Amino acid sequence: MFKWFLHFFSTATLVVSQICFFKILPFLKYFDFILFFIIYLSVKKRKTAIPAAIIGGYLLDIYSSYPFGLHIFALATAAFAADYIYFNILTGRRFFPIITLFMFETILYHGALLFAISGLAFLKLSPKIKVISGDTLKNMGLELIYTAVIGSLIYLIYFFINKKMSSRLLIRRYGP
Amino acid sequence: MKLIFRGKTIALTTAVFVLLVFLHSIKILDAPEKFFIDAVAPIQKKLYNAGRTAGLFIQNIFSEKNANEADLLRAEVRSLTLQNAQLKLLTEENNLLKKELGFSRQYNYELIAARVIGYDSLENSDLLIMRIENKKYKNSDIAVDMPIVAADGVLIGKIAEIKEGEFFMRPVTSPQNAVAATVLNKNYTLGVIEGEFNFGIKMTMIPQSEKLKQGDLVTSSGLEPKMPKGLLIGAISKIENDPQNPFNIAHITPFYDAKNLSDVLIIKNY
Repeated sequence: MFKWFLHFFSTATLVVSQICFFKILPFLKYFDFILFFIIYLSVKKRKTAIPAAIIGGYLLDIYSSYPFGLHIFALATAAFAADYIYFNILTGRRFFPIITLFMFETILYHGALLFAISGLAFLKLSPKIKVISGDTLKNMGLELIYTAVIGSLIYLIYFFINKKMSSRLLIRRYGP
Repeated sequence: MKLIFRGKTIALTTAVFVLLVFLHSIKILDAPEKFFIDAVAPIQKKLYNAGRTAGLFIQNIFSEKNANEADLLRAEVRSLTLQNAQLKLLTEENNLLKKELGFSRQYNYELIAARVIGYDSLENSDLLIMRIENKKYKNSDIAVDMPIVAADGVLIGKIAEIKEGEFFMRPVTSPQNAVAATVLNKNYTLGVIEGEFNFGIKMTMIPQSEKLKQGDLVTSSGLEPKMPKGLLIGAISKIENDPQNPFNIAHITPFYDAKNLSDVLIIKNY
């Protein structure tokens, strides 16, 4: 129960931080922390992954100028895809496949958003806008690069801390 | 390895998604959403200010001094000094005319204080999320396309969308924004300015016969509804003059970057 609350609270905190803090900073604005967290929950087999994706998407939709539902759709799609790819396609669970997964998920997330926006414009439920432009593609490229770099750093830090904590736990339980 | 998300989960997620969209469309979720927005707003203000400070600090580390920028600034100062002198003369003449006609009218804007609290969560969107600071006013008192100015009256954007508890500003530098403008040159050239992707503004379709120069000031022309005349926008930084083309393009540097502002004003009535 506590883990559920912790994951939902973390999702809400990341949403608020993303739109008010990270989006203003020159480098971190190209890294999607919420997507990264949802993918992390999915690959760690946490049952909170989909509920967290729905809550994160819901909060992002509250702070979005576009029709409601886009981010819920995109984040839930990314969570399902991450689970399927990690457990069915990736043969290795090491550094490079994980980073490739994150980069692919970023493209999938943006693709789902663009698909939803285009669909709503086609159904005349939202104004028609130019969804793909030079700037959009440039930003996507930058986001992929920063996802690879920052994702790698986070993965390495997490791996290092996990290793240290595991060895200390073993020492405490079974002695030196 | 088994999938943790099976068909049942997908069906349940789809059902929850459809239910949320339906409840949102019939406005049942408006009250809890507004409660959340109001509860989180103070934290957002602090986070946004911290982000602005950090962003400016990082920008200052990486920006380089440009000699051309200094030249532009000198040209602007010269132009502004000249403008100031001319305006003073005009003001004197105007006061005299008013006195003679027995006519006095003051332009008072009804202003609503607002604050920027974040960025639109949609990727590649340049809209800013804002909240009304003045408790006397609510979101029902504002309307789309109302101009938003900085404290000194410089136009920085327009209201693009209004939601429960918040609204969105589209900066003048947004490619989807267009403002009817006047260049304060000899002919008071009229045109429409649009944002550019590099956070600049451009005025297109300027006939070759119109004489513009670097440093000329650009203001709103007042030819569109809800937009008063005379709101400063920026100064001309570059003119693209192609003899093969019947029209010129003027690139304008805005006086303010909306990303660096926190407290702004909405012009409700003028």
